[in-house]
Amino acid sequence: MASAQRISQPNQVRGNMVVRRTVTVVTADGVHARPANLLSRLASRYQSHIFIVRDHDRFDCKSILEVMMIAATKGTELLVEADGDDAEQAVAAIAQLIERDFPELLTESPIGQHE
Amino acid sequence: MNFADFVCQGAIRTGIASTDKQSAIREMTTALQEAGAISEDQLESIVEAILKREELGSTGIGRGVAVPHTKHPTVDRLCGAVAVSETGVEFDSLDGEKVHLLFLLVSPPDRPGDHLRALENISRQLRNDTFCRFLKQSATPEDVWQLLEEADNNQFAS
Repeated sequence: MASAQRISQPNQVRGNMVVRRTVTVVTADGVHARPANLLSRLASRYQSHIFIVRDHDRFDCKSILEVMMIAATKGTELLVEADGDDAEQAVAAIAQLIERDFPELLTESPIGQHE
Repeated sequence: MNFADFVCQGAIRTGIASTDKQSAIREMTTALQEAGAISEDQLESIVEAILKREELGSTGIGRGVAVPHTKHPTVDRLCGAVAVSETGVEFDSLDGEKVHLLFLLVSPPDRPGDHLRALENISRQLRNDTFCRFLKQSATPEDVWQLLEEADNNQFAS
């Protein structure tokens, strides 16, 4: 907790804390259009600013266009970052969606082959 | 990846007649076939696969853009068609708006990385309002191709 507070120092004026978590893409086809849609929809439920950082590029997780620009293949390491009142919950939810291989894709899809 | 790496120059159509998703997808897939990128006997199978993919969620991603796509075992490289619609196509888009720019992609099942890089290129370039507006105003396939080449040369870099 003490170290988390040190990281958040620049934002303490607003009382917010930047939360970050590294995740690895496990999806065989990578983050294509449907995962990108799921990510942007989930992110939009939170008030926090949510970003996905790949190498040195930062993408707005609430924009499907930006998430598609990540072009993250299987095995890619991404940093999920959120800044806001619900940052903790937002990062947990987004990271979980990526790490659990977008479970919604399976339930949506009656035809696995056509992607 | 650049537009020139996956867009078939012979499969660009402007002022398309289709105003609904199904006929737009058929019109564009036929353009790919006429350009020699897919074989005639696979046309129906590819149209059907793209429509099935749409059932899982519209590829109308907003900003008047759609990226209908499928994997198909009969293509050995990623190929794309481009269509511009003046009147707009009903596409059940995520933002509810009609679609005026369509990029249709058919990719080999074993090359998911190429598909991702094509999506990356399309979404990155379309973020630029000027590029998006010029493309929608294109009257001929030659105009579209020229804009895609200019985008490939980073002339719209934002």
